[in-house]
Amino acid sequence: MNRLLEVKDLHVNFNSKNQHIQAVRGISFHVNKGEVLAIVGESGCGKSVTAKSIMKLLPEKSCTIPKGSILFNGEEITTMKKKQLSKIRGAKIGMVFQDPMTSLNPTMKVGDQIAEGLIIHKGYSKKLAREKAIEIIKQVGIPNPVHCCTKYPHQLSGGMRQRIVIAMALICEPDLLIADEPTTALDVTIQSQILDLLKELQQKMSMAIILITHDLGVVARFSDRVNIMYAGKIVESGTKSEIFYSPKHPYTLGLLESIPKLDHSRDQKLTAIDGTPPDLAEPPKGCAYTPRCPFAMDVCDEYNPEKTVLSRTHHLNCWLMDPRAPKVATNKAVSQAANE
Amino acid sequence: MEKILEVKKLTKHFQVGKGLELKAVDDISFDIYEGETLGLVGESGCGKSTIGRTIIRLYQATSGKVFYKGKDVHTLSKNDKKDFHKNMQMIFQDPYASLNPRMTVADIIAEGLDIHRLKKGEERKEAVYQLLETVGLKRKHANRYAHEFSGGQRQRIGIARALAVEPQFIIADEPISALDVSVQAQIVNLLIELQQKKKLTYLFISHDLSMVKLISDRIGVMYLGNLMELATSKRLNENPLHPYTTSLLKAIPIADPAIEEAKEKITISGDLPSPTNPPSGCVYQTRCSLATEMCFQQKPILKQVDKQHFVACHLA
Repeated sequence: MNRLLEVKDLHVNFNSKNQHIQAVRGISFHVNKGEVLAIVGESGCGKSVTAKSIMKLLPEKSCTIPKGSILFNGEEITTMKKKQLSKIRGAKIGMVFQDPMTSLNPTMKVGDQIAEGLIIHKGYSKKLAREKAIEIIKQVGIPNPVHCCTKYPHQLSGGMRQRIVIAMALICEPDLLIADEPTTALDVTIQSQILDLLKELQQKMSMAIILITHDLGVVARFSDRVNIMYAGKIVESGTKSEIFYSPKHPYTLGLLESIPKLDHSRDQKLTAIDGTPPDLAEPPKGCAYTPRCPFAMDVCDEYNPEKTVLSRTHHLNCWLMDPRAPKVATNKAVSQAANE
Repeated sequence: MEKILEVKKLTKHFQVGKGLELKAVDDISFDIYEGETLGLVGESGCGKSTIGRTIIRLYQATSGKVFYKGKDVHTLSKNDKKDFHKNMQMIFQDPYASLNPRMTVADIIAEGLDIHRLKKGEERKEAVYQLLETVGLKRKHANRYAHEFSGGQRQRIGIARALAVEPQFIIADEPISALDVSVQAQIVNLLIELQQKKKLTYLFISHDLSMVKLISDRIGVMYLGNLMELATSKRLNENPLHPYTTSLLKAIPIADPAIEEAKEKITISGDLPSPTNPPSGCVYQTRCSLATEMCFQQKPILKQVDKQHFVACHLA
């Protein structure tokens, strides 16, 4: 397999004076060349922390990685020195952040900001880099690219700014793009423009994308494979159709049911997930979803579920699907709910 | 059904310096009937929140009138004003910014009761407990502060505060957009349940058309300060007439890969024009793929095409 990125048993802790928050608690996943992997979860589940640790962008003082490894093209990122890192950041891995206003430098013309990457990573001359920048601005669908180059970020609209951020991330033609909620700050009509653009560029450049989002609609439109995260762990992982059409983890089910369907009638209630995610300063001993899970058993409180493999691509961490679990009522309830 | 609120030719302009005028709401009229939910949708900057805020008198209207039960809300006498605010309450978008961090939950919820001198002492305390339970919180939460709660719980406190004075009409301005998906459904269910129990009328403002579709009886679609289409939820979904509504419906990503893959590419291109300098003729003309000569010159008026269906488009 042509694995581009491999994350193994990654733990990330945030330390403050009186508490240690375990933001990521042992996750493993991989990204193949040219595929789109979506990481889905609620706020605070650790999805952004995962993305930032791949780029090693987390504050070194307050944040530690006690365990785990991140291999990019076979190279270990967690122990990498700054100098080596800067050869990867921006050049091999690009990143698009949620808020296009705060991820651009307000005192620099956007053309120069885009060209900066080429000058630093590829040793282009200023003139050549500028020409390249104009070319990529055109590619991200901005009319009149020459004129746009000379503008400052505040002179552009939110959608335009996000296009600039994407252009910046793509200028060095990275192998992997990490998009952290790239469309959350945008309006729906602009969102679909940006998603179409990302998809088109991804296919043209055959790059891999890690898409981090909380919006399952965006996932359905955009991704090949999906990881569902909850409270710092990946609870279910599978291809798009496995996750959407045969979800097995109660949390995945709950997420899918809590959004209105196309043909949802007004009298039908939405199925909400009761309660809130746990506090990760003191993570629960067993499965973190137990207090909110309608199918929870005694074992869920006590022990963390092990990985159950359903197919080559589909696996989950849930006691209900464990081979040792009672085959009767509970499993039926889940599959019934899945069919409904 | 009886009209509870009438909005007539409401216009709200803001002065934004250098003699520029931002036309946030431009000549909008609609009615809200007792016991229904009217949803207002649109992209950011389309004026949907301004309408809500002008109705509840947080802004003075530039021109036009708002009638609540036959009385013009912008020219109320002092006594009527108090009465009006008791009947109309608001739920805000950001549950972090809209609760006073220095007040206990009990004081936040009972502030309305104190201002209107409705309940005191034991009675007030009991009312707070009742409200907490109504919105799905516990009695023991009454003496805590807002920062001790999660986003969803805070939004519940905001709802309890709105309900305290027993209003008939609630304006919910993006009440769920700051919340996580799984919590959004909790709050929407709560709002629907409260409406049925207390016979409330809602003006539900949101950019999330899929949630608005679920909760609203009728939906108004706004664009750049104008009402483009107004129809029952069902009709708008099945038979949208305005090209903007059609592309808005198409632009929402649906959590179903098969539907997403079958979808044709989105037709809406370009950005929202600036509301300080709106396009001539129809405001949507710059992004509309069907625009004709007439659209550039003449502004379409909201016309009735069916009993419950209004649309502002030359082509419909």
